[in-house]
Amino acid sequence: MTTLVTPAVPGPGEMPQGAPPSVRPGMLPGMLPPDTPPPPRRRGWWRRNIVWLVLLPVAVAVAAGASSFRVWAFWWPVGLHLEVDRVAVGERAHLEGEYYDTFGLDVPERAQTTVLRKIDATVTSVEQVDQLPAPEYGDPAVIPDGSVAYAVQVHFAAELQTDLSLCQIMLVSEEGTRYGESSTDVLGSSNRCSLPDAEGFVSEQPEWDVTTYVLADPDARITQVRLGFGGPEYVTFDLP
Amino acid sequence: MRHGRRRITWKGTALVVGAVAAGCALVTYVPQVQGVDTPFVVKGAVGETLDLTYAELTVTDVRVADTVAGFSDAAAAGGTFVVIDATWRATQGETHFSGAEITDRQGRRFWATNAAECSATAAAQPGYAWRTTYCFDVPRDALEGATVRLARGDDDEDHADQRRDAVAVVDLGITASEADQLWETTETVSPEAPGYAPASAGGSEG
Repeated sequence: MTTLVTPAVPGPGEMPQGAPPSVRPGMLPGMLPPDTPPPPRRRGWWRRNIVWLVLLPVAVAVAAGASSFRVWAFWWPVGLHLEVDRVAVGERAHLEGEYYDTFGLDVPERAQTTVLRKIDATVTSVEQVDQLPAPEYGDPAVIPDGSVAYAVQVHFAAELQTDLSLCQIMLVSEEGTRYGESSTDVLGSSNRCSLPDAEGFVSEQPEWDVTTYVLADPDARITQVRLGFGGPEYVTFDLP
Repeated sequence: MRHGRRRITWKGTALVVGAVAAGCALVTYVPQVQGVDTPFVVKGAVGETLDLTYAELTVTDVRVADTVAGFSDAAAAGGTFVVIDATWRATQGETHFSGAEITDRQGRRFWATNAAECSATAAAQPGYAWRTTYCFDVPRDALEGATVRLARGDDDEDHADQRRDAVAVVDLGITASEADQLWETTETVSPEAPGYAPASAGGSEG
C-alpha cells in the first residue's frame, strides 16, 4: 500500500542540504517573500548583455570561417584566381604552384602526392594570321567567317618531366573576354603547351617553343596573354 | 540577476505579438521564391539574336521530322521530332550550354535527344559562332504554341541551375493550323554535326 505524504514546509533553520539557495527558509519555490527588500536599481539592457554583445561579432566571424571551407574546396582550385607573376611580352615569367597528382599517369611515382610545378615562360610574339597551318591529322582548319585568328608563340623552360596537362594559353581583351580558354586548340591539339609530337603530358626537353592558335572576335582589342594549368595560379603577359 | 516570477507586461506582450506579426507579413507579402531564385528570361522569336550576357543565341531554323538520320544511326519519333538549329556565340569565356527543353502550352517539358547528330548540350568559346542542332520528340498536342528554352544552366526538374541566370525562351511560332499540317509531314531530317556557323547565321529568317 502506498501512502501519499504532503511534505511539510521546513521551518527556519531546517533547510535540507542541497536545496537551491534562492529558496529562503520557510518558503516553497515560487512564493514571494513577504518582506522583499526593495530591488536594486536595474541595469540597462545593453549593460546586462554586454558580454554577449561583445561575443556576437566574434561568433559571426567564427560562423563565416566555419563555412569558408567551400571557398578553398570548390572555388579556389578551379579556375585562374592567383596571379603569381606579371611581365611584358618578351620578358620571362615564373609560374610556380602546387597540384595534387591523383593517378600519376606519366610519372607513376608521383601518384597521390602533391607536386610543385615550376616553369618559366616567355611570350615571344602575338600576331594575327590570315590562315591556320595544316593540323597533324584531319581536315585543314579554316578561320570561320566572323572570326580572326592569332598565333601566340611561347618559349618554355622547365625541369624534365614537368607536368603540362590542363595547359591554358588565352588571350584577354580589353573588356575581359577570355579567348582560347580551353586547353584544346583550334587545330585539335589537346595541349597548347606540348610540342606537336609529344607522347605524354610532361616536358621532354629542358627548353622548347610552341605556337598556339586562338580565335577571337574581329573587333576585340587584345591586351593580355594568360598562362595557367587549370589554376589557381597563373601568369600574365601584357601586350604593348 | 533577477529572481522570482517574471511579470507579463503589456509592453512585452506587444513586443512578442508585433514580432510574430512582422515575421508573418514578411513571408506572406515579400515574394521570396520569385524574387530571389527565378532566372532572367530573355524572350524572342526564331531568327532573332538574343543577348544572354554570357552568350548571344540565335534560333535559326525550326523543322519537324518523323525520323532523324545521322552518320551512323537514325531515330524514329514516338510523336514527332521538332528539330531546332541554333547558333551560340560565347561572350565571356569557355561556356557549356547544358539546358535545352521544349515547353508546351500545358507547361509540359520535353528534353532534347542526342540521337543521330542531334545535341542535347553544346559548348563554345568566345571568338566564333557555334552551330548546334537540338531534336525534341513531342506529341501532337504539344506543337501548337510551343517554346524552346535554352540556357547554360542545366534543365533539371526545378531549374535549380538556372537561378539568377539568363535563360532564352524562344517562341517557335507554331499556330493551331500549322500544328496539324506539321504533324502530317513524314519527313526525314539529317541534322548536321555541330560546327562553326557562318557569321551571317544570326538574324536571317528561316
